[in-house]
Amino acid sequence: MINRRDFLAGAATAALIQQRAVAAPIAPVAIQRCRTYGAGLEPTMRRLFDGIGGLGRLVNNKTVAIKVNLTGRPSQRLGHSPAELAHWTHPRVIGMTLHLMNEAGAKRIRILESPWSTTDPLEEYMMEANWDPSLILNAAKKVEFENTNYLGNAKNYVRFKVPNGGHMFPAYDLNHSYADCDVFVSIAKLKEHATAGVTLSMKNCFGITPCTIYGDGAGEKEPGLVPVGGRGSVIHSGSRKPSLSAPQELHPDSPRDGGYRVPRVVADLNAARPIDLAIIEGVESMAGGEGPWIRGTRRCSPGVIIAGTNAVCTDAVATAVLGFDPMAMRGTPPFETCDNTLALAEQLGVGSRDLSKIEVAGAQIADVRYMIRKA
Amino acid sequence: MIRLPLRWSGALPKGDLAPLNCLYGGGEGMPVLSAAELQGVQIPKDALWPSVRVNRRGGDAAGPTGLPWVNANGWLIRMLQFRDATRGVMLDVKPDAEARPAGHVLQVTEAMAYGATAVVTHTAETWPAVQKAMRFFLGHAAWWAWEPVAALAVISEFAGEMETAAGECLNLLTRRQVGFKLALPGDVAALANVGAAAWVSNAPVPMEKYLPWVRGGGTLIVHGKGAGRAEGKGRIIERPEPWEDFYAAAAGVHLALTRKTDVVRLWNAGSFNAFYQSEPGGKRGVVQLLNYAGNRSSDDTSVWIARPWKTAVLTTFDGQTPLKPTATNGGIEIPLPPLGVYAAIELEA
Repeated sequence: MINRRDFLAGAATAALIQQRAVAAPIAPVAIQRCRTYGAGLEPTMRRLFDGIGGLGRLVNNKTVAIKVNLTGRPSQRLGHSPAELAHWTHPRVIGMTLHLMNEAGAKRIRILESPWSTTDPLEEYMMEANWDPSLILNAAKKVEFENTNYLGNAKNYVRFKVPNGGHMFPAYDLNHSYADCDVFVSIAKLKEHATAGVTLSMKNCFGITPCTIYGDGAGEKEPGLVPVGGRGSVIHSGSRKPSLSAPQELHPDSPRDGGYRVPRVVADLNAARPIDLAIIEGVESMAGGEGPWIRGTRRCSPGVIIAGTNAVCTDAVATAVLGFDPMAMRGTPPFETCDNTLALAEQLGVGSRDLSKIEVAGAQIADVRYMIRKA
Repeated sequence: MIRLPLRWSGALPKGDLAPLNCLYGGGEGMPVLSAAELQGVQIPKDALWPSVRVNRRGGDAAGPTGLPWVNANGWLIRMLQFRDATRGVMLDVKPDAEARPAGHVLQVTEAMAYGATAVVTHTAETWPAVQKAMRFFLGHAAWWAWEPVAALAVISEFAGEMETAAGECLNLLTRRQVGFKLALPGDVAALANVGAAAWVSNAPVPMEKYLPWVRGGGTLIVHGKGAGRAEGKGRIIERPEPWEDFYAAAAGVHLALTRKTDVVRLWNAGSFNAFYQSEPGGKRGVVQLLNYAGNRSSDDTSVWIARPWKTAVLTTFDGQTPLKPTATNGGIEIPLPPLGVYAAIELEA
């Protein structure tokens, strides 16, 4: 049921779309049916990338940064399922992407994530989940990991300005790895999200914000030295400010509601640090939310991988694959209690969510549609 | 004979009290634990009623990792056993005001899982379960002689100015499911079967004693500026965290050790500690799981054990169930059914 506040927030979004819409680019999206992470994964991913023009034009002789999704704590599982079969990007998909990028001439590849409440290296975090990080490290030449939840290996954070104004913040201070790359890739899991409706390639980038600045235990004036907790107070609820060293909210009187704030921050981040290649992995996944900490969640097997060079277009196709309308407004599934991140990113000129304009290569949406609410 | 004492509360409870065999604090109807016998055991003053620590709002208090704080004594028992192997350890802790029935079982279970005993506070409600737990451990007394499976030796005096820091280090390493053994400064022979050692002492490291072990492939973790250097086939790693910063120090040791050396990993088991041992020769092993929440776990717990054991059986106070391990990552992973206060995974090579 939509309450008055939701209605007003939705109306405000609609008004903003009309006021601030800027030209939204469009790029093809490829879909491949993929039932397992076994031997068929390599040819499937080759076809996937061929469907969007191949990896060579994107990564040849380039430094590539890849944000993966390792949300939550590694010690937490959905039932007995290893994290990669439910809420984490599967290491075989990461490894195969690296292998194919290596073939395509990538000069250097960095795997990035902001693991929960720690400055530990990503390798350690992965091992806690029972992954063997060497499988990723050895999948290509010059593979590195960096924990981006804090300052990391740099002397300073890098400021990313949001083009076209920004919805929530005018700019974001991020770990250097998001600037020190030629190509930025988001490898996400195909999932619903309790706060944002769906979590795809764009929402995956919510995790590029360092919790030393945007976390519950962030320093008041300057960034903390170590990340403490999640982003609940600074971003979800807005009950506290990010460290004062970072740009502050544009509209401090805006709703203190995660369904309003999280989609806007995600849209901002994707405008500020655009994704050059979006890969959404839904071979195995979960329904009902983004992680095992959400009540009522369950394993599911969409059996699909999606990729594109425009994150909004790719997420629009993925949203449709999950059985939702990417044009849906607040109050409509999957955005019952939140604004539509795709719409907000579209306003900022990141890309189009209009399926009628997006060319789909490989399998078609109808062929692979997976009604996740019925899973 | 192992002394299993009942706390005297003015009258002997009715019914079968075996295997309790003595009274603690005077009384009649059963032999009283004498002053001389009490001299023969170690009774720590800082033992806690085992439980998940509760915050002021009544919820689980979380530590820096987000996992619940637990009031655990396993580390303390191990430290006392190491300091004086000739005297047994007995925990004398009265139930706190909020103690739940399962807490009485947990108190005895924790003590006996680590080879100690506890003074039993009898209640009619809890006695049958406590009795069952005590009989279980007496039936598995062989485990008390088995060695902890360790990737790390913690080197310390475990006394004097380092008692608190070293104790907390053991407590937090246990919480992180790190397999460790204890060693005294200078006892290089104690490092024979481990790949790493942490120097938890303010005394200077007698490097001349440790260098041959390091050069043979050992990793020595010491407090320092944060540097590291190769030494022969091994390494010396300096961690900057002071030992007095307990959590950071334990995390730093685990990081220097790396999770590659984990002997046990647990999932959906925030309130559990594991104690992994194997018999001399290594043909059999056991991972004892203690649930400090004291109730039946609602989540599906899984465990990974860093050795490809051939068979695994889940043993509880109520019986045994064969398990289905899956080979993974050099070891075995096992999905477990919902667990109560205690379970042991019995392993065979």
